[in-house]
Amino acid sequence: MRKTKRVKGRVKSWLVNRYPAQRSVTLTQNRIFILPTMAGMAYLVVVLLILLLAVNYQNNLAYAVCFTLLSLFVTAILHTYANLSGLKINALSTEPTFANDIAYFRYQLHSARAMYQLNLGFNNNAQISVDLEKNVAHSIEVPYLCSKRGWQRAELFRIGSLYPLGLFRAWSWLRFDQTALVYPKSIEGGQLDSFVGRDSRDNVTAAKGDDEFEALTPYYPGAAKNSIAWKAYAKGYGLQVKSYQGSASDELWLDWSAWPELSVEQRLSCMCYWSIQLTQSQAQYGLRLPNVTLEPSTGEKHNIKVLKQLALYGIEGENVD
Amino acid sequence: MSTNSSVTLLSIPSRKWLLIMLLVVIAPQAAYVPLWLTFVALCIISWVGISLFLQRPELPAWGRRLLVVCVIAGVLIYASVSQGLAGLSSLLIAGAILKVLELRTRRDGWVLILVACFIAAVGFLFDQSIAAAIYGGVSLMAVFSALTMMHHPNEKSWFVFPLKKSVLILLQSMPLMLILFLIFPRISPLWSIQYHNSVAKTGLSDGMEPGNISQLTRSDSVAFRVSFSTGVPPASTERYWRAMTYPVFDGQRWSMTQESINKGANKSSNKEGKGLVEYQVIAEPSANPWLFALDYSSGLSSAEILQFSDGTFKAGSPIYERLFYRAKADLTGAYDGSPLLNRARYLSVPKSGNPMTRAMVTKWLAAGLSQEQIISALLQRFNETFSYTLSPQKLSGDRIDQFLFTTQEGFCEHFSNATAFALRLAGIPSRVVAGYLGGEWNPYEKYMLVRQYEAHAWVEAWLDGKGWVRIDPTTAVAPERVTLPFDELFLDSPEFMSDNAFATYRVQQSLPWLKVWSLRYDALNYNWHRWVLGYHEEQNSLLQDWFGKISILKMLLLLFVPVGAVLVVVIWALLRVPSRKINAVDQEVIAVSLVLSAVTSSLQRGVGETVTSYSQRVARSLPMLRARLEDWSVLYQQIRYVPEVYQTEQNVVLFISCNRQLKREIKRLKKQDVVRGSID
Repeated sequence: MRKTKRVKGRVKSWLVNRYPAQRSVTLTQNRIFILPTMAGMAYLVVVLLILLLAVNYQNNLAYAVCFTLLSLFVTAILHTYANLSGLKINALSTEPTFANDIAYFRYQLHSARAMYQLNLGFNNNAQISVDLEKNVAHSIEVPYLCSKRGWQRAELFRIGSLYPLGLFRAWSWLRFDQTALVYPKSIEGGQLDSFVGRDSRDNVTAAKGDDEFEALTPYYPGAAKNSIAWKAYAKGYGLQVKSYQGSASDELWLDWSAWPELSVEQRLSCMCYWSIQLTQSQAQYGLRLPNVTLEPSTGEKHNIKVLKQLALYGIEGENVD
Repeated sequence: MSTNSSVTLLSIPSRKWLLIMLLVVIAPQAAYVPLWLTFVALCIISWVGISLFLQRPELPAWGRRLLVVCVIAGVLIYASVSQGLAGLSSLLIAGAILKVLELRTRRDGWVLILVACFIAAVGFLFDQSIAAAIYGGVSLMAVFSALTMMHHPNEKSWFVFPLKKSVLILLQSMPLMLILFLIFPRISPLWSIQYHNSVAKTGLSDGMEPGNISQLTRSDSVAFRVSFSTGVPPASTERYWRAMTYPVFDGQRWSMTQESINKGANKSSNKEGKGLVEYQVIAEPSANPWLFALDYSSGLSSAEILQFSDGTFKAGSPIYERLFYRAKADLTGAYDGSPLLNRARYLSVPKSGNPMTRAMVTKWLAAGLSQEQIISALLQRFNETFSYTLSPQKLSGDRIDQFLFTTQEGFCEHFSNATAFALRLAGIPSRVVAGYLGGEWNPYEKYMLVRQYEAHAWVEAWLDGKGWVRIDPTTAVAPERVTLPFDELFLDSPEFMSDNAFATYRVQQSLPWLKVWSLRYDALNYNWHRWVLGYHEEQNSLLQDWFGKISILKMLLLLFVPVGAVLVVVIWALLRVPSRKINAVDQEVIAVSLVLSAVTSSLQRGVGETVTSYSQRVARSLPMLRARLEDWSVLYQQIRYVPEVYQTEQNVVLFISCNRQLKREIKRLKKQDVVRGSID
């Protein structure tokens, strides 16, 4: 068991080195592997049995059955290969996610021929099955379980197919130049009000009622649904987001030094939790990390900025912006 | 990886296909398995079918278990009682049927598929007809449709889609299959198998009593087929096919003895010249070992064929499958000078019985007739007063006396019986020979078809200095028995072919084209037997005819060159991207551009020029068309770029009429030569 694992690891590292990470890949013969499945092997055993039958009874029609099955086995290689060859895969942008949660890496598949029953997935993750019509681009989201915060690179990606007869499995390993941003896991914890020195806890819960409507800003991805100005949209002004102005005295700070008893990751998780909570209650809050400070603001955009800083805290070589 | 596929559940359509496949594959075997198994199979398949197609509940688990135990017990008992293939076949079918009850995962589907492949192959051990082969192709089609469906859960066209795909793959596999069939070396069986394919004993029997042979005229089934190396059949007077000799006579019955096997070199094999005929026989299964050879044959091909001192041949074991052999015959029948062994055996007659015949022979001997004179006297007697019939009167007691002096009518067996007896009384060593006389020549495939009703018996007498001489007393009474086809001779006799649908035969006689078609059909069957079912006999000579001396290198080349070519074509067809069809609307634009460029080449649509900018450019040159061109380009954009759901048929109609008017106007402008003027 361990040995097969080691062999698999070696094969994988060879594959990683063999193909550079790309944004777009077209499957050709130097990327597609084909081997018989277990069922294909069993099929060959049956072919052999029929051959024995034919030899022993000198039955030429049994010979014919045997050779038909054998020829079909050969033809099946071509059909299985053709079901992958020429497939074009484009890596698309990826939505951020939280640690221990699933990131969906998005791809667009396109082929000039119809392709059936393509199974895609990252290693050890759920596989999804796709049928492609010819010349119709098909978008898919491939799940990947992210364990750590930071930039999650796309793992080796496996695309395979058993179609049409299941005698052979054609597959290819793909490496995409694609990353997903993983926020820290959001964990409820820490008392926010005890550190800001005010009765902000009450403010937070009461904030919603006190909000003053400030302005409409154009829609940005990630904006909360309930903050979209549907009335304005109905009037034909396009998607607008209502932004609210909390009172200046309600300013909150998510401060790195606020929870000294927590470890780095726990602290980031708590800050993550509070950032989401405060955004939902439309409070104004700022972020203070040892290396960066974000001025208090509110809204979904601000939340995303904060979460990104939290995700990339202490990760070297990354441009934190 | 493989664990993934094993837990994949089968979709409803793929289970439907597996069921259809099973039904198709086992249907022809129903005749060879016990009746109760057929019944159980039908019940299970229809139950599962109803639950699948009509979405009814399935059999409860306890019911399934009970059924499995009962069927397995029944089949095991049956298989232990019955021998050979029927047992194997029922085991396979029972297994497949029971698997249907547990059809959940893809692995279950695979088990069923593989068993079905094997059942399809086993089926050919029971039936090798052309129809069975075609049906086998249908079975494989069903198997691979089910397999395709298992790997492509397409709900919409669940029946047609996999069928198309499987037919395509099967057709693409055919060239490779044919080449493998041609060149794969046919090796002899790895271990010997005794299987009795329930062949009823047919044809001649090991003894002759009056009535034996006329019994055979009730059947028109084929005894054997012969082709000649010259492609020309021997004269009708030479078509005596010997099967066996009966030297022993006990007063009632002529029977065989244990002849000594003739191991010595064939004396006639080195003779060449006229009268030597080479031929190939395909004997039908008869459950008897004896073979058929033209009057004095030698040199049968196979090592498993035994030649006996009386010039007959036997297969090593009873013939349960078609048997192919080659032989040579010397039709001149020249005597090679070897002496007669066992003279006493060929002279022995019972001490008493048939006194009138004895008296007649004694009278001839007293008159001092020579051997030849006695023979001709006897034949003379037959010729004068006897008649040849399929339905003679019943004889009892001293049968030969009754036949010779009272009834004076009979079939070949009566005549040869009496002749051999009389010759033995006269001191001439003689024996009765059983075989066939005649044969129907098939002009389409140049072979001779010999049927059971052409069975015949005649006499061979040993004449000093001449050896064994054939004497056919039947020809003395009915010379047309040799010259006419047997069926024409006895067409009106009620006994003739009474086992068969004689009415169809009569119809066939009255309709010449039907006769031709039946000959052609038999020719097809003959080719089938010879080139497909008997290919292992023909392979070497065929390959040598085609490719000269056979070598492994040649065979490998023969395998890989055409197969490679076929596979290249297949992969080309599979990977070919269908060329994009030009939209009908775009074709109209091209047509307009052509008409305009015929006016002035500068008005041709440029590469990459959009229809809008093109129409604007043309409108600048030809202002009088501006309104029409605007309509035209707007309609074009609506048709091409508005999503399909918002499309209306009306737009297309408008565009086409607008297009037509536009072209007409351009042509009119061209005639008026306005275009040139306006541009210049």
